[in-house]
Amino acid sequence: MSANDNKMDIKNLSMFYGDFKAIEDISLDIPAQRITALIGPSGCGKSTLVRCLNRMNDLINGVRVEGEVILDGENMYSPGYDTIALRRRVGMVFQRPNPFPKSIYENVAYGPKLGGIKKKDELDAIVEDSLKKAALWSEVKQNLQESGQRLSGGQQQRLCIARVIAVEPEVILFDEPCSAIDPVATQLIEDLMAELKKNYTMVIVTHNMQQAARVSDYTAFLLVQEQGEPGRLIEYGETNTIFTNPEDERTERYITGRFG
Amino acid sequence: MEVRKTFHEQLDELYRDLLKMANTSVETIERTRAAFASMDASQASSIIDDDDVIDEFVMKIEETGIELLARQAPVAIDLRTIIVIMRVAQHLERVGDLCVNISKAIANLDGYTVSPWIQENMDEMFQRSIKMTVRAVEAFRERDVAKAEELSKMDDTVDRINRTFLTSYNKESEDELELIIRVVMIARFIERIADHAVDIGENVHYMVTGEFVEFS
Repeated sequence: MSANDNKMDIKNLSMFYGDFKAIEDISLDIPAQRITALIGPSGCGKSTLVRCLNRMNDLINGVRVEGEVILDGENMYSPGYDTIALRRRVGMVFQRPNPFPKSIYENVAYGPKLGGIKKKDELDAIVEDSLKKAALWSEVKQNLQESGQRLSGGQQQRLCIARVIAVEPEVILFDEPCSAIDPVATQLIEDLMAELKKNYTMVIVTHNMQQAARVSDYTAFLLVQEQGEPGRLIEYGETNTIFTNPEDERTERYITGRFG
Repeated sequence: MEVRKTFHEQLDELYRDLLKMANTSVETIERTRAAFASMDASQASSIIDDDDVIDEFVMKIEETGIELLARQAPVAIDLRTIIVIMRVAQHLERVGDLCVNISKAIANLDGYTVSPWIQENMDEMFQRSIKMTVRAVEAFRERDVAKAEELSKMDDTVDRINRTFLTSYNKESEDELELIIRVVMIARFIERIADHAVDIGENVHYMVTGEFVEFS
């Protein structure tokens, strides 16, 4: 794959919480319209890393970033970069489904309204399209005015995905999207991700190694070697290779459960 | 902290089962060699009867292998090891079947006098095939790619001896022609045993390196 096919290039990225260095010198390409999985033991920095990809960490006091994250040729950490526009281009789905305390319709229409779309028929079309893309439409089309919070966990998570899709992002970040939902809902979300790949670049953090093996095209393995050290990238490659024949012995020992 | 201890213990047991099966297979080739050398039909018949033992080994190994694949979702070296154990078991089962074929053919040699040059070459083929199977099993046990790679060269000699039967028999003698047809068949079975050893070597190469190769 040539460099032109990368949606993002992470270059020598380190991130500090105050004096504590959480991740160190991570360089990684995120290929366009592919799913990249970040795996590693708890505390290895995989969530920290994914939150660097739409500057979500900016919202935490004392956070400092070194290095670059290039999105379509532009470093998102350069001074004056528009973070509001960034978060529209790079959406995020979190571990716990977090619909607004509003109707299903309003949850999806909220972003486009903020973006200035006012016409009802236009909003209707966006809501329907987004819910369809999130594989939720057929289940909720009769009750769009019901509260989003009354849906099941798996449906709420798909509603959150529809909410992200509604603002037409280019990249979707998933931070352990299935850890709070049941296995059947998990399979639905995984199928959905495969479908969304046609249009979006995705990055998923998962503590479920089999999920990474099932859904992703590329896998990055992060590890904290000694307690107190930052998380570092140990190995990055095609998921197929990582799970059948990883290069680094630490990757092999981790994915085969020889340490955890 | 090892987090998949039970699974790895089950995998170790599967590994040991395959080594046990391999020992039985090597013994079977050795018994087949002895039966041919002495033209002992009753020994040949016991080899045919004992093939069930090898079949039971392969069934147990496959059942356990499939169960581990289904329930443990193994990856990387664990995945490759299970796949290779199941494949090697298949090859060893075929080796057992070939010993059965040879044993049946020995019974058909009743009444023929096998000339010393045939006996010698056949024994040489047997010895070399046994050595190759032992080498293949060692390569598997020790996860030794270099050892596995030696098998290809060892196989060349077996192939060469195999060809001598057709080129060296006395074409003037009608009796020897009838005999040589039967002998060529047996030689072909032994040559296949050696091929299985090479295949096992290729599997060891995959298990250790993750790369498929064809030893030519």
